[in-house]
Amino acid sequence: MASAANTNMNAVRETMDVLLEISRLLNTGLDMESLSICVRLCEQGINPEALSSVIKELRRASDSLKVSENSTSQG
Amino acid sequence: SNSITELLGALCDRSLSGVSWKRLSLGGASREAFRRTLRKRAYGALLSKLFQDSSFKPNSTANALANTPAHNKMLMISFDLRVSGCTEAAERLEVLLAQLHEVALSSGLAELDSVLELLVQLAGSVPPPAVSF
Repeated sequence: MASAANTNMNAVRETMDVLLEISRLLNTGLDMESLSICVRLCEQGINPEALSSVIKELRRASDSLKVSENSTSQG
Repeated sequence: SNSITELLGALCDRSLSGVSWKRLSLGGASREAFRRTLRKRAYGALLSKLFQDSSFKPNSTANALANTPAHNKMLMISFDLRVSGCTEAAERLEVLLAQLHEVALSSGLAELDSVLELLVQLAGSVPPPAVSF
């Protein structure tokens, strides 16, 4: 039983490693943690196109925050 | 944490990593307020896409592309990489795709096509890493 669970864990880890390498090759900007969250959201039935819009929107928002962070540190 | 709400919250928090709140608080920014704004924007993007899906009628080319399986879109990207001279990357991508279908079977991942579609949608959304000599 434990051995079957280990096999599954290894398969999940291997799948995530392959997905991360594909993600890096394609310059998606996802790190392992974000990718893992996205995989779980896809497993929950979230539409991948909608999820990509969410990620791009979050990047725009955090980029604007980083710009204001820089202007605060310079001011 | 596996509910959609929690996972979206985790994605929002993840996008805030590397932000110096100490410095921002000097400018009057509050972490909690920004987290709320971020969540609103995330849900806004998610919902606008859902409503667009129900009303948007794509033309035949866009429709054909939308109906193309994610795996085939990956192969189209691989073809584009070859055409642009990135043969090594194209070959690596094809090897990884073959490997993925082998390991994903035993991992129990049910929505592999959705994950691949997400990666296709995000392809090229950040600049390639700088090459160091």
